[in-house]
Amino acid sequence: MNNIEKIAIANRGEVAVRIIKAAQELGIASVLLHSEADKNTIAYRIADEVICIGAAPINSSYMNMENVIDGALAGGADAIHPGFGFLSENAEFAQKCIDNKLIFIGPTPEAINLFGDKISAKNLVKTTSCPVIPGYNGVDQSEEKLLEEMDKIGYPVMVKAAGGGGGRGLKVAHDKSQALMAIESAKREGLNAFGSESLFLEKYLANSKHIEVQVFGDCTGKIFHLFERECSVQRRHQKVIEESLGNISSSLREKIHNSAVEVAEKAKYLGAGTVEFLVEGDEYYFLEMNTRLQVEHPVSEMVMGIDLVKSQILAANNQSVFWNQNDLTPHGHAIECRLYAEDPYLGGVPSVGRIGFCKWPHGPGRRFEIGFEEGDTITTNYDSMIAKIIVHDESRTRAINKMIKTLNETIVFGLKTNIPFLLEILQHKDFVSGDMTTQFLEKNFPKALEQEKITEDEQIIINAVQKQMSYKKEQSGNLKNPWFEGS
Amino acid sequence: MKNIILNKDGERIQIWAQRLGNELWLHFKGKTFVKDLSSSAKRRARGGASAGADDIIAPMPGKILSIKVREGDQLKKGDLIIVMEAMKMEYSLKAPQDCKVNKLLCSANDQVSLKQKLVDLDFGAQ
Repeated sequence: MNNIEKIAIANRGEVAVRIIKAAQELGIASVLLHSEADKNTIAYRIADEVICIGAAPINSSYMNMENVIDGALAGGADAIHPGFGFLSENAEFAQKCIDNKLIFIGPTPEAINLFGDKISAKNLVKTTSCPVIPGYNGVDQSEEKLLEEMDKIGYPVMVKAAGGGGGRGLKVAHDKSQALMAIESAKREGLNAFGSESLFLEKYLANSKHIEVQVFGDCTGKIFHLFERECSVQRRHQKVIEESLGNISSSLREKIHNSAVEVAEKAKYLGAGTVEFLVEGDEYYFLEMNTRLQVEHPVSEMVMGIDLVKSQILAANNQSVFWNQNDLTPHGHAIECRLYAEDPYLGGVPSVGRIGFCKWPHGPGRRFEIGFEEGDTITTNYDSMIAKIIVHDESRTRAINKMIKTLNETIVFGLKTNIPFLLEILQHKDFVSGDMTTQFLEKNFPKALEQEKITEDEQIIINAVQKQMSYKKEQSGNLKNPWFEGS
Repeated sequence: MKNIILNKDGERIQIWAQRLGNELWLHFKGKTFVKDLSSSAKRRARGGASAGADDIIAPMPGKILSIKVREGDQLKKGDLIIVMEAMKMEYSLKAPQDCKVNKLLCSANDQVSLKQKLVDLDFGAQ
């Protein structure tokens, strides 16, 4: 045992809350390392201790290794949980933690490097029975070379900033005429977001599903798989709705699980990781391995009945999990919707500001992973995700219905959210049938949602409420409106 | 925030309502509504000038990356006008309908604020 007594959380939002709560349940103290902009958040309020590590821009705080390490040491932490995004897949950071006698809750720097570098990841996977996707990630980054390689791979080709993740700096060239624009745009975003213009290219499968296998390496070196998730519903390559299990055949399921375990075993992987695949028909290709906790980890937790974050902490503490692969049986179906502060009627542009009121309609099989609540402010400094809503039920159909009901009852005032968009997706025939591919949103929702006209009945209600609210204000409730109960 | 039960034609409707600045936010029957209570909204409702509602305004605070049009250009609906960046993502602002570019009110690399007018469009001069 390493005896972790205090964990520093190098993250924000709902994942920081998730980690703090897991630590507290294990009797471990938490110290939140936050930026100046993140005082009005749930994580800030519930952490045992808080330390400000810098200004709002990520390079001054969450991405600043010195500040994060100094903060953890100043807070007396013996371990750091990086969450996802930010420094979670940065091998240099993981090494710096070790050098400063801080346990990095995650895999070894070697494993992060191995999978962080697309070439070494592919080379490793090529030594297994797992198929890989054609692509280019060479040192020659000249436009001529990139264009030549794009021809070689065959269109459509995906152009991605090498430092990227979460869909940032990622473009698709559907034919040669779009190639140069895709390169320029991806380079620009890469330079802005990660300080690097380096790109990689990959064959873009136009009709594939995104299937990913949750794996876990415990401290004894044993690799478990926790079945798969499907994340085909992506917008600008950013996942919007995820579920577990995926909509694939059971024969394919077994093959993919075996491949994922083989890859993780080959890398002697420790802790939680995800092996991502693209699936087209009965073919599947290794896409990448994410050496961290995933945003969508709750859907796996719901169907598998496990706690991935606590397991991560235990693994880092050199304690083994209680699992036996044969006993790991999925139950029912789980779906996660990412709730973004954005205007669905303006094509999903962020809607920032203060949350005037919010209501999370709890109930059986409903789980809310939230980072913000009433009075908190969503700023332009970071990702605009407010919360993740997860439901679990006996079947996929019931889970979809439960999600629709849950979203109908979820209220956020002060900011526009993507709830109307999520509801459209959940009721689309290709989603309901489970046949959706990664093209689903682009194909079916190419434009911003049409704003529905307010019906006459709705207008009557709105006007009545408006009148009622102004009566209250001006006449201190003396005048009664016969329409309202108890007012 | 106010929680109200309304009886309408025999149906019980639960309503959440909150006044935030010049807006009234409501939620009932699974939907959220925002009513603009500002005086300019009232003027618009009375049939006044639409205050350039269709000009290109910044839908979020961010940075202008590039401007794809020049003053005087004739545009077709959907033509790309501005590429801007916010929250590390790129967004394209396009012509809402056929129009002419009257005046550019921003330039590349500008930091713009929410609802700042970026381009003045003329929809009449076809």
